[in-house]
Amino acid sequence: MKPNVQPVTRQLTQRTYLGVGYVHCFLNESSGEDEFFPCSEAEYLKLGEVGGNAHNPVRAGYTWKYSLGGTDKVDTPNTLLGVDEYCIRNGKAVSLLADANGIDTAYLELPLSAVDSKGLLNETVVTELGYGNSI
Amino acid sequence: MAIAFDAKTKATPTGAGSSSITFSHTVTGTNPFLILGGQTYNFSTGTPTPTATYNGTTMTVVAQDIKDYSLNNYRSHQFYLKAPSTGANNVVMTATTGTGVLTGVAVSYTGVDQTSPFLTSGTFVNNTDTGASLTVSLTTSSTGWWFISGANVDANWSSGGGNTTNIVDVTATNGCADSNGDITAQTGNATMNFSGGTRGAGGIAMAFKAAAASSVNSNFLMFMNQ
Repeated sequence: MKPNVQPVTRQLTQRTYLGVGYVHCFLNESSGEDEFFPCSEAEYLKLGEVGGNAHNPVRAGYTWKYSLGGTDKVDTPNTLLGVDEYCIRNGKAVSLLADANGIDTAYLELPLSAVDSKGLLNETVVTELGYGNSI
Repeated sequence: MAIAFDAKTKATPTGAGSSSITFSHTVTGTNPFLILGGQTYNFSTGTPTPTATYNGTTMTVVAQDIKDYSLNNYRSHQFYLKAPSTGANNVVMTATTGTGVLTGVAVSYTGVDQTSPFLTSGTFVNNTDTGASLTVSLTTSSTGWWFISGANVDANWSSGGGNTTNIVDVTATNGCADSNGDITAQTGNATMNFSGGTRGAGGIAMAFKAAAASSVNSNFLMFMNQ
């Protein structure tokens, strides 16, 4: 059960939007954590072709889980937004927000008015948009 | 020939937004049939209307963009492919428009009609945003299995009631189940239950039929034994 009272604002970190991205998701067999590694559009599209399974990515110590195409490529090591980070794309504040319990995350495209010039997220705006249950 | 469960594979990214997801699923056995229970959420475009392929072959849409009525914009999408390639091949689900989170569960069966496996389908949208089950009424014209997949922001799926009893897979929000056996021709409900929240679920159910028993082979064997 999420608490009824939540903070009105939270601090977000802005990342620079670099365009459309593609990533592979691997399970790190040592840590048990999922890790993302960038790939090219051509590498991603090849996976979906007839016999594309032969091109599935391989990394020593990792097990491939899935790949994503059309991600928001930003200036982070794995090219993806981290938790409580956002970038500006096509006049939207594209955000990855931790939920109230800090367990899950929500990927949201918010109006720029939801984030001020200092990176403070106005959670009231998020709630008014109907995404209040996500964070 | 009896239908039997073959395998399931899921891909459930939680935080990364994208417009396409690819994962591998292995189909084995004779007379195979593949179903993809897809889910999207938090797409700014509202209705991503994805397409799906398996080993490069386009899967047939059962239903698209079925909303769970929660405020989080969770939507169900379901596809099938008759006579899919056997072996390990990739499933790709790609949104027609927008960026959000895509998840998928691929489920394969054996012993399914390879020419006209599809019997019927139905959808359910919970317009009250409450409830404890996802129920789709189906009317089938012949014996077959039912498959149901749905989206519920609160997850906590459990075994279904009515004629659907077997949970095939439960992820954070995307669940699917099947009849776990033949259902004779009838009008009945395919159902998955959920609990733990006050928001409803939306989903899609379909029925598919078994491959006909091979009378030619059995006659041939009788001839050979004489």
